[in-house]
Amino acid sequence: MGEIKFVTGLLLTTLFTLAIVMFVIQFGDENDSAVLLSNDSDYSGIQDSLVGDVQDFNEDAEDSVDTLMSTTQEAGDQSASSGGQFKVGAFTMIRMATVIITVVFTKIFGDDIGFGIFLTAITSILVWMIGLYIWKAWKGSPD
Amino acid sequence: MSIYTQPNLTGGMDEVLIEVVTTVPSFMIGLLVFVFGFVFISGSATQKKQSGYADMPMWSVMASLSTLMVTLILTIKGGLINLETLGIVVALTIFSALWLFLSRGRGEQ
Repeated sequence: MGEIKFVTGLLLTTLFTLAIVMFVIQFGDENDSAVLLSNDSDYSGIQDSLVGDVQDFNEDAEDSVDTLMSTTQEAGDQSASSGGQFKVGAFTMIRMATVIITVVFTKIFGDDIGFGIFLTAITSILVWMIGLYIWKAWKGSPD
Repeated sequence: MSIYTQPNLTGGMDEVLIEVVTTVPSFMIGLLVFVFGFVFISGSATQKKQSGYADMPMWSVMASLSTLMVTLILTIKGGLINLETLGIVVALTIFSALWLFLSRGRGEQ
């Protein structure tokens, strides 16, 4: 899986999460449902959080393109001196994925603090993978 | 002799269901697990039979969305399903999407 598919996958997951949560909340409002997802504090908060993160990703992408367009390379250079163009919203991606994974794990496994170590492990390996993807895109290794 | 109190059948189908769920709280959860398992197993098994390849993440999303649609209908009337169950179904749907979007396609390196 390349960097483009990884970042696109995380972004599509974010948009899917937003679509599903907003659909379920809207369904409840329009049908006067007895059980409303908007009464769940975790889901009502995730909507605003993810919308803000997607807007941050948009700004990061624009900044990254500006950096790419202003990058110059002299003859014989192996790579650009700055890796800014390869860091497209990586930290925004981490934030979006962490918010989604936290809510999903809290809902499925509960908020028992003893089980939190699994969440810590998964978010840690996500950060580690994104770091490696940036390094791979910039320097070409590791695989 | 019945194993639980018989529901009042004169109140309508939804009242019967509510009385059943009140008596057996795991009834609706079992129904949702059945819907998920039916779509997931039958869909992936049929695809495997026809093409020799089962796209598990895709069928997981299909099964999750099917379960979510059934759950949404059950939320309209109070007493059939609770907020925790709805939250878990939505969480499983999101997890299935995460699995689908981050999975490799057939033949993809």
